Amino acid sequence: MPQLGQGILKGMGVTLGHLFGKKITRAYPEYKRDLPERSRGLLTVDMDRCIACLQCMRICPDHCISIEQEKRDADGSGKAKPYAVGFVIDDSRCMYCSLCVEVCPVNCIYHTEEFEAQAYNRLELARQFGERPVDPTVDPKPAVKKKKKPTGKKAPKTVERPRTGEDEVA
Amino acid sequence: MLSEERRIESAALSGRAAGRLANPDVRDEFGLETLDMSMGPQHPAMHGLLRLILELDGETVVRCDTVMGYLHRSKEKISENRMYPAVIPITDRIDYMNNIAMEYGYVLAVEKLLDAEIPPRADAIRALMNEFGRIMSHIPSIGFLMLELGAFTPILYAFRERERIQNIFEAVTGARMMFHYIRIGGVKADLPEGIPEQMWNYIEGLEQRLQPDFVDLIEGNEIFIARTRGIGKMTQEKAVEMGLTGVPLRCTGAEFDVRKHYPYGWYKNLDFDVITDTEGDVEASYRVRIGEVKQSIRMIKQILEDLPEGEVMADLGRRIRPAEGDGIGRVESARGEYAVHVVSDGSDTPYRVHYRTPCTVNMQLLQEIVPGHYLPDIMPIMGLIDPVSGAWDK
Amino acid sequence: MVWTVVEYLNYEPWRFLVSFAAVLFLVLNIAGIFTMAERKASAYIQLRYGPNRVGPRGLLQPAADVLKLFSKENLSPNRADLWIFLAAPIAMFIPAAAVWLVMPFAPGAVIVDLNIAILFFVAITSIGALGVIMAGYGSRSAFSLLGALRGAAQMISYEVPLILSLLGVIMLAGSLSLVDVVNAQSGGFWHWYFLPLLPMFVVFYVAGLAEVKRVPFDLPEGESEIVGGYMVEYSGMTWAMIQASEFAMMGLMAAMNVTLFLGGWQPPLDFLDLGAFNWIWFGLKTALLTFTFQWIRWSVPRLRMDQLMDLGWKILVPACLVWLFVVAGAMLVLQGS
Repeated sequence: MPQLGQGILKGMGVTLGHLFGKKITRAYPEYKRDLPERSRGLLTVDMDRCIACLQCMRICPDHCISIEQEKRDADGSGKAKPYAVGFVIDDSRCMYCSLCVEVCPVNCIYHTEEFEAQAYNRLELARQFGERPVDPTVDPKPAVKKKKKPTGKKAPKTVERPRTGEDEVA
Repeated sequence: MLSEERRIESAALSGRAAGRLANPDVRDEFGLETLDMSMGPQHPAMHGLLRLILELDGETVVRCDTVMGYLHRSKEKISENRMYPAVIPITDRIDYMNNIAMEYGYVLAVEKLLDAEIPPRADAIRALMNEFGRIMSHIPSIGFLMLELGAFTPILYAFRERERIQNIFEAVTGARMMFHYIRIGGVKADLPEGIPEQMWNYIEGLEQRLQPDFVDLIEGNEIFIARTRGIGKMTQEKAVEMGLTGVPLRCTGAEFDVRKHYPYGWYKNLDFDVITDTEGDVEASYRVRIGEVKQSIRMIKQILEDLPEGEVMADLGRRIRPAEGDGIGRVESARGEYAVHVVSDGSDTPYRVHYRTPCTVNMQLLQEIVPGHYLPDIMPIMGLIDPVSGAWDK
Repeated sequence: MVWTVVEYLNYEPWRFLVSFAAVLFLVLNIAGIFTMAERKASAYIQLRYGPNRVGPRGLLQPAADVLKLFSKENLSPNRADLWIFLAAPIAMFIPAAAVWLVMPFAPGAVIVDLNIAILFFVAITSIGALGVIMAGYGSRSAFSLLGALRGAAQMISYEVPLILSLLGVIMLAGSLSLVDVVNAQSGGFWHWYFLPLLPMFVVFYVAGLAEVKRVPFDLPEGESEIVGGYMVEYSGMTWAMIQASEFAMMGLMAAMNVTLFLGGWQPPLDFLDLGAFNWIWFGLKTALLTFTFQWIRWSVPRLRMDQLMDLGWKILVPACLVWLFVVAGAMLVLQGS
């Protein structure tokens, strides 16, 4: 080894430089960063605007939104419209994918800047918004109609690849 | 002679070991036994949940069995029950170090099914974010390699860079890790005001920091050289034979990069080199990673200089319901070639989704080249493959 | 009245009891202080703040740690060899504490001026290897066993260059007593032994690093390979004791290095002599050397077992032997004329 120790000394120079350098960590509970505008925090819903179209409930990949719907003449127009009597967002399931926010036709469900969701009990993380509480532990109606599973049904015709027997099972 | 109790204990360890232990008098010419050791699934150097069943002769590994599946979350089955757009958040969680490429592969496959035309600005933004994702994955990879060699400091410098890129990602996508940004037909939203400048500043800063923190600190270090040179060495033929992709393949000298050879999206318009190295050992993989970070920086600069204007989302209608058929999306993720095969039966949900993650394939390396090395050499070899638990188990 | 008590304490066995209590106090405090220093130094190198919650600037963190470790349950593996398992931390701790008995802290401030102090140091620190083997063997775990084997091989191998490098000091000082060694280095820093014995100083430094099992020689622990090695099964106070003995050992190695090669409590220049307060110099030098230990630890990766052995037997031992002959020849020529 012709240059024994040179590389190590060079590396130690780097670490010595950082020893006196500016620290980059922040003490969290005291210091809170400004969140960017698009930051996706906990969900919240504006029940006055909700039209109970159930689109958010259907799209939600985790079934974290459950809505109990009822026909009611809420705005006094004389016509009974769907009305959300129960609306629960279960934060312990939510993965903040923002799909519900995007499908909402009246923009009544949106992300807040709040991100500190913690509780001693999972059920405490389910936030009720409606006038009647909804049980968050029961999955809402399956978002998608159950497909007939491959038993009997033929796999779709593929364009490129001949299928083997194994694929049929899958 | 192994005691009966010990034999039962060991037999529980592994099926194969049990077969061998049925005949406990396996000794070498000195009358010494080998030691069975189960490394993982909970072990700090196993990149998540991997279990290696090792047979040790002293500190030399005689046999290495890989046991995967401790983080299996049945991503493929879940994907079959979701509507097409709702699969994207699930792909995010496959390779959690390089999420954006995971989204990209799936979206490419669905777009092939739909024959969708993507606006150029969306394509450029996708490539931009993808390259940021590559830097975000490669730099911590180098840190993990050093962490496994016993140097704790580089990983924290690496996470400094990752955090800063995450800040950019948070401003663009709204999340720090599970972005859900690349959508079928484009991207979720255009870059916010001021972000291209922020990206440019960050990239310039990274270029300056890369040299001291990730090259000077690591590359010339004699102990690093002693630990990595010649370790995990494999030939190009062997690498091709095993179907390796990504850095483990390129560090043997094979020039294969999906971005270059099967270009997708905006990569057709970009000028970059495929970094290769001839050695095929751990040190070479480190050099390739550093080189690729530099190439990513180069690509990001090109994209930012020449960002096309226009829409970022193609109009594909509210409901995505592709015709019967299948589509394959191939992308170069930070760990190798990632491909998604989506089969549609004409309904709202995919009939079948298959994720070909590079980690699963690259993991074969362990069984092939670990035997003969010392026990501590497993860690740099893990650093060479740099697998991610979520990606190999799906 | 006070004076008579002090006089009285100067007689055996009170003198021994008092000084032993003082040494224990010192060692435990050193362990605490070095833990804190280590955490702060690593944090600053890694652009962090380190512990900063308990007390002013986090300085009471070691106390909080000790409190927490005391209150933890002491777990032992199901089929561990309990006697060996529990005796191992003690076997590791005693040597780290005992050597301080012969350390000269300031002029006249030495608990026992042993005339074979260097031999005592070598003999006592070797017991540490026994503790490592006991811990690894008693835990009944593959990782522990590997760690213990590595530890034993490493510590025994590195005793050789360590002792060989001591020979140079013994030759120059002409004595095995540490007090004599320090006194022989008086009169400015150019009289210190690290200049004529530079290769031996380096060898002692490196071998000392290996003896205290610190990066780049921390293979017995190797947390990324064998997850803590021989101490993987320890918890609570037994673990704290192993940790304390490691840090005390680190302080001991630094102090020994200072005493043998850097003039002990001797001030670097004559006019800086502080009389009875010369222990400040001793402390400063020890702290500086300890910092270099920490600095190295957070900058480099660790070696592999075979490379470690290569370094020990193929580089350090021959270097020591060669320099031993050079020193002997030089002494012959200079004293002969």
